[in-house]
Amino acid sequence: MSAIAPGQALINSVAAKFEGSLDFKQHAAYAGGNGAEALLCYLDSLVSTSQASELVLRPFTDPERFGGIHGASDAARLILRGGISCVIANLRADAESIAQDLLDGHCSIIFKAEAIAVTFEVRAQERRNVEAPKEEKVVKGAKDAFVETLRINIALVRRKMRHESIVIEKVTTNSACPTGVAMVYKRGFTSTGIVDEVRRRLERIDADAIISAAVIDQALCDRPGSIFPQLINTERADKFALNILEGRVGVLVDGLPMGWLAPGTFGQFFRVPEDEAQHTVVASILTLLRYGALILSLLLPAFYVAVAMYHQEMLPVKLMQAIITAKQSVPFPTAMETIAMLLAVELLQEAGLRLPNPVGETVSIIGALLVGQAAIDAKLVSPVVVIVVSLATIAGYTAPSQDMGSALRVCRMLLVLSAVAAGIVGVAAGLTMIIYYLCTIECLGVAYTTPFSTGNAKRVIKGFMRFRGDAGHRAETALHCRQEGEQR
Amino acid sequence: MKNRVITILTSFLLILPLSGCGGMTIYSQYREASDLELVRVVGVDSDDEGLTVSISTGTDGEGSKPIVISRRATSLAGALQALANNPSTREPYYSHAKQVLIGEQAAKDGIAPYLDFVERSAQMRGSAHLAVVCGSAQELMTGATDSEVSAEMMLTYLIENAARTGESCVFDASEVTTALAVRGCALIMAISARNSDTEKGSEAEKRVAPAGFAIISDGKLVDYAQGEAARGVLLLTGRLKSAEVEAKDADGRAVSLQLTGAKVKWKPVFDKNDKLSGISVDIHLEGNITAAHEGCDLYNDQWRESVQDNVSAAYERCTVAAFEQAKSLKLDFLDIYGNIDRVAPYKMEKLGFDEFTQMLPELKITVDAKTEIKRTFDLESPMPVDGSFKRVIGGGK
Repeated sequence: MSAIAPGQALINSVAAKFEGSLDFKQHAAYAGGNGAEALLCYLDSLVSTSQASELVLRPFTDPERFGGIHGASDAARLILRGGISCVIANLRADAESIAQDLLDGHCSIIFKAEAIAVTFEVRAQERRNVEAPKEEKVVKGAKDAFVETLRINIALVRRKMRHESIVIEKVTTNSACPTGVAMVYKRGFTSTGIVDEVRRRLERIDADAIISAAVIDQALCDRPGSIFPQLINTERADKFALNILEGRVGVLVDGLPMGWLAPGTFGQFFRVPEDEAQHTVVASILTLLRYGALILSLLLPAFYVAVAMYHQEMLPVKLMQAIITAKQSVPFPTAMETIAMLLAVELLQEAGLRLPNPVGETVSIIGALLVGQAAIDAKLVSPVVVIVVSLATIAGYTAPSQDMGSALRVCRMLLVLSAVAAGIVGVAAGLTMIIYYLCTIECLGVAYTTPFSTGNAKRVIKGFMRFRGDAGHRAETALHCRQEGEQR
Repeated sequence: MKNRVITILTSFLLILPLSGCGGMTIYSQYREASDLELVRVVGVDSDDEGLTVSISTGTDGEGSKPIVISRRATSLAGALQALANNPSTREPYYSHAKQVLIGEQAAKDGIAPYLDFVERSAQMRGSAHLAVVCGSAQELMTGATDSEVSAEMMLTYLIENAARTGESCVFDASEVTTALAVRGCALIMAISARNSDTEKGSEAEKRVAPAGFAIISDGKLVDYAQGEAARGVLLLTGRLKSAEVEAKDADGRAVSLQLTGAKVKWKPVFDKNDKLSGISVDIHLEGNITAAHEGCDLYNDQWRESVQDNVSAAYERCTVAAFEQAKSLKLDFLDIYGNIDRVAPYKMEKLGFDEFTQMLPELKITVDAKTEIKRTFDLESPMPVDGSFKRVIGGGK
């Protein structure tokens, strides 16, 4: 029984790892056409076969370059010295690293005589073009959104911040199927504590694969069970870059067309990059308007229920008379009417989201007509309830973050239930509990209610308003950023 | 985390029983808005056998007729209960009641139970306006209400007109309660509801008009301040904001003035022993001439002074009439003590309120009123109505 050559054993190990994989390909190749025997292997789903042929196979079998080389070590040495012109070429000696390279879009030449292999990056270029963001509307700003390719996303970010202080660091996770994860921060400015903590949490990820955004959310959030978003999630490269400059840490993941920013603070979810492009007065008014809409969206249905059920004396007589007149022929109590309307709106919203765009819009229109006008005509709900619920829903849409919008929808319903149970007292209690809960949240050591809980009046005002000269200078001291003097 | 959840839940459960005013839980306050009838005016009448409570709703803007319901009972609570049990209407809800009318007899019997009802009720508000009806509150509410105008609307217009013409003004329940508690007497707007003959065959129509002030002492109606005395009361209590005044010039020609401001300056006069011997009241009125008889020389200083003097004299008479009534009743409903106490608090410290009311009839009160006509409208050049007006701007001919 003859002994197996070390190289053959390596080949067998690699082949065993991809056993049964349709896309695992291998071809025999000889250095210079008749020299050292080797095996070219790759995953044809991940590599560009034309590049593998042109850049790797053709030069390797070219007698002019590799003629007369019979030793595997000599061939490998010549390859790495430029015998094959490929930017990324790695010398490997174990099956694990070869398999990992293959999964990263490399092809590999494994020599039969010796347990040596050289891998070359010949990644397939099939990818989506950079397009305008679809989820986050851009009014006045850059229109390049993240795509599924990490390298392109990094390029988008780097082009916006061409400075050596911007660090784009690769992070290796514990995931069974390794996925490219990059961490972006501003060296010398972003708190090292936050950077280290984000890195530690990313490295700790042990999911089977990072396919869903929830894996990153779960890994980075201090309270994964909370309905309030603790990470800013964006598909906009400009928003991502602006937050990096504020001292946040960004995370980009291969295969996911979005970036994460940590830590997320409550106020940050009500700001949009367009604020930077607006006149300070306009930007401040718009920010205040968003907070006003937040209060309206959160409290209006609850306040209506409380007043209509318990505290009729709070309303002016003409308004109260109008409510009474509108409710005269409605058979349901106020609580049931309001909750049913809120649920109907949620149903419509959910249906509109899940359906293709044209169908979704049709559902919304038909739903609005049915639930709104027809329900009023059929005396199933009073017009006041429709107005209140519609107004609250529309106000809720002003929240720039969809995650925050969803959290507010849950809170709105809870407050309505509190109002049903105990009127204004219930609303006050519910609101107090929500605020208390928000105050208990910390994300990577930063209070969620920053800057409103800092106790610094100037910073609190800055949370609501923007002043002249703010644009382009986005130091967020609450994030424990180092001061200008410390950077140099 | 577990402790926090328990804390939150316990807090919520502890908050739930917070009830406000009545019952064990907030649920006792639960009522559907659609089951309520918003009461706008409450009227109370009494006689020897009991009392009648009347309520009137407002109009809802959709053409529905205001409802007036009355119930008799031996007590206020009984009458209110009877109104609540009325099967033909929804539950009366008093939070939006704007006016409380007290019939003359009920006011003479004592307004304390009604004030108590307004002040202590979970629904009624202290800001509800009080008025004493010279006659029956029920009749006024029923007679005033027709398909378009509710009792509340009628009373609102009446109060606004009374303030505009300077005949009376309205006090709310809290003010009346405070005045009764501090001075033992108070003023309430008086409204007359007299029958006036109309065309033959038709029913007698109620003519509702302001009738000065009802003077309440020890919780009971004792007198009315009407006519000149009512105007004097309005001026001395600082409620005269604006009023339309008819005056005459030296030749007896009618002149209309719109009073735009009135200031009253109280000066206590003390003798050598720092004992109050009298009160001097300086009144300064400001107004504009709004209409004058043809031939009046508006720009003549002498003519203006004669008008000013006449207005001043008229208001001096009004003020003196108010003081005389206060003296005759030995009641400080004008808050004379409070006004002079604010001017000379140290000297007034020795004089108690009861002592002051005893010496009130003998107190020498001098009144000096001055009127200043600030401006006149351009009455000299009336608008041409004979077609002689020519457009000179914009190419007109």
